[in-house]
Amino acid sequence: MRNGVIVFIAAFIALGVSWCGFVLAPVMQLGTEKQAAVLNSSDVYPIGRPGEANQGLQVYRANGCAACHTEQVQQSGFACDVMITSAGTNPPAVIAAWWRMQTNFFPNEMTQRFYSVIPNSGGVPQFPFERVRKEIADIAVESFQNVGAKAEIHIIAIGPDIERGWGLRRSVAEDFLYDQPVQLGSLRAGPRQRRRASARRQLAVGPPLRTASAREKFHHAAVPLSF
Amino acid sequence: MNPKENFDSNFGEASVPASRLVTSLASPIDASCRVPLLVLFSGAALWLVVGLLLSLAAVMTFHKPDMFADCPLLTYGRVQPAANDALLYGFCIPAGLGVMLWIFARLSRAELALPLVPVVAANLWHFGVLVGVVAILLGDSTGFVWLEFPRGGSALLFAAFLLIAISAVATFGQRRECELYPSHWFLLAALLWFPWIYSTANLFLVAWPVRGVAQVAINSWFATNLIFVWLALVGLGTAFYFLPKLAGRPLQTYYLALFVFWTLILFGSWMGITVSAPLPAWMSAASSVAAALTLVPVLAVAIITFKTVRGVPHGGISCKGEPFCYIKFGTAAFVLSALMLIAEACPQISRVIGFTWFGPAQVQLQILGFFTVVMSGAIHELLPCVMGFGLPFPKLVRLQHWLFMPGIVLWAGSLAVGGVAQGMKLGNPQTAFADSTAAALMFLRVGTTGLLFILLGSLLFATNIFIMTLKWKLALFKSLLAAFKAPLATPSASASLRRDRAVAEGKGGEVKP
Repeated sequence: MRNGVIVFIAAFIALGVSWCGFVLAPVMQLGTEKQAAVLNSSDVYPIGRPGEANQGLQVYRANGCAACHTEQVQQSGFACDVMITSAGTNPPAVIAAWWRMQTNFFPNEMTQRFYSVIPNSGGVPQFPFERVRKEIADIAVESFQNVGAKAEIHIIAIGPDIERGWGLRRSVAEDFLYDQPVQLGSLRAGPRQRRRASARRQLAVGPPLRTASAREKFHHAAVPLSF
Repeated sequence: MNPKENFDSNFGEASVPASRLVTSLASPIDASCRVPLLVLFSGAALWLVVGLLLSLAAVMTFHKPDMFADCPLLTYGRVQPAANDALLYGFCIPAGLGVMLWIFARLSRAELALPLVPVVAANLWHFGVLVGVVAILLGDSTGFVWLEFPRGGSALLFAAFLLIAISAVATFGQRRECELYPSHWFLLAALLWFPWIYSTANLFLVAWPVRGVAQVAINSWFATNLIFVWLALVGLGTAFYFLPKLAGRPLQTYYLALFVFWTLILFGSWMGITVSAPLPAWMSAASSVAAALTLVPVLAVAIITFKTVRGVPHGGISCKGEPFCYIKFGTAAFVLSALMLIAEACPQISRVIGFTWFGPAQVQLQILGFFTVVMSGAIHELLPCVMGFGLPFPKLVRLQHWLFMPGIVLWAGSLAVGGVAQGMKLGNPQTAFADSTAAALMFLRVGTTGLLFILLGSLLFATNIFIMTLKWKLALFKSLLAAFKAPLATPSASASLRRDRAVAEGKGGEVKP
């Protein structure tokens, strides 16, 4: 390249394109986000922080808590829970269908984690299959419906973070709508994490199982670290 | 300094014509850079020491958590960003700008244009960094990674950068050869890069913040473009100037360097959005693709360096710790840190090392291992030319290299390994979370030794620069004193006075009548 102007134009184009991609596009796509109505309720999500939590956010910013703590929950995939909502008129047939599938698909293990049963049904499990693949859940729901029961699938987010109880699903853009500044953090060097969860994504994929508060008031033990 | 003499004669043989690299030992060119460079470098050396001291204070939290527990000023969350910013804004950028001004003047075969402007700007810059670092320690950080300085500090930095850029572009415009050398491309692009990303980030995040996670996208874009692309542009531009100069053979090759330039600015600027970020999936996907493509310029840099260094008589490989070794080691560190950054963008790998010490390890390798080493090598090489006298303690240059090299390997290496160990435990929900942080603890403690080595090395660096500044100021003072004491003189006497003063300033007695 012979000319300074050409270098300048080359750099201008390269940076301009990436500016359009990672500055302009996010502002256009995410900058206009609004509260969304939560399905089957009059709630909206997210709602702004109450005053005390807002002050907490400023304490978080001033002390650089994001240097050691993250606000993101990661998710490695999803699994399905099968829930029987009504045992129907022939509970023994439901139990037989459940047992047949159990021995077919999971001969070596029970997939139940909560051994709750439907009341007055002669022992029909409420959650016959938990954390199973979508195909198996589909087959199970169909078989239960064939013997007169009502069943539905709940989609559950899985991953180490979720199993540790840090959230019910991965963090999404809406969670941070009212944060200023947004401080996701990129290092988990401290023992505490703020937990965030919402009913919204749950509702988008199935009825809520366990709901958590959308906002947890921020508080932080003085300074690191308990290890 | 020897290769310099035979450089021009060797130069015409290979792929880069001699006209593309203009070297001149004419001292007025060097002398014109003297004051601006001294201001930039001495401030930078001071910030390097301060930044490393703050880093050490931060890492002490992991040795003795209650050490600074009662002192909010030294809370980890404040000291850590203050240390990072002192290193990046305090050392890296002014050192890079100083070296850039000198390279532009040398390649243009012209004296530095508007030499007073960078002097003012350098003072402004260092004052801005001081404002920013103090504000972070007092709890007035903006909360955005690598953009923690509050508005006042950022405005000073921005203004100072523009002033230095004006002087650099004016010097570039004075050049006598039309043809550009590869260093020109990298350094010119860096001049455009910083004001653009810095103003964008400050406007969209601090002045008129956008809503929600768009902030995250912009912050990641800014951080990657500054830490990876800007440092790479300036560091590689400098390395591509000094490697052929010190090796005494041309850059291998001009066209490969052109290729690196294009691919680096095209792909590198798209990196940085992690897979885990709560952003639309297309962003992290685009970032991962860009990271995979960035592998191309990174490998090309390795090839250029290896081929340029390979044929050098007496030690393309062996190293005694002179500036040449600095540049070689720095370039190798760049390749390694870029590979680490690319690995982080790969979803499968990031699932393990995300949120661990691996990320900080990469940043430390980029800032300390690559940029600081290349810059200190370049400064050791150019400062004697600029000042007109040698370094006061040339042996410290070698000692510094032998402190930096193991220090950086130990510091960045143990953080990276600790990060992997931490990530293995973090990914297993049966392991208690505290176990995952404890897994990295041992490595952090080992790494602190490395940090101490680097700190010692930086002290040596600062010693050389400060003694040099002091010597120069003393000589200047003496000449002024002599001028003051001298009797009101006849024209011939005042001419001899001017000559004395010129000698004292190291201009070698060249006096305009």
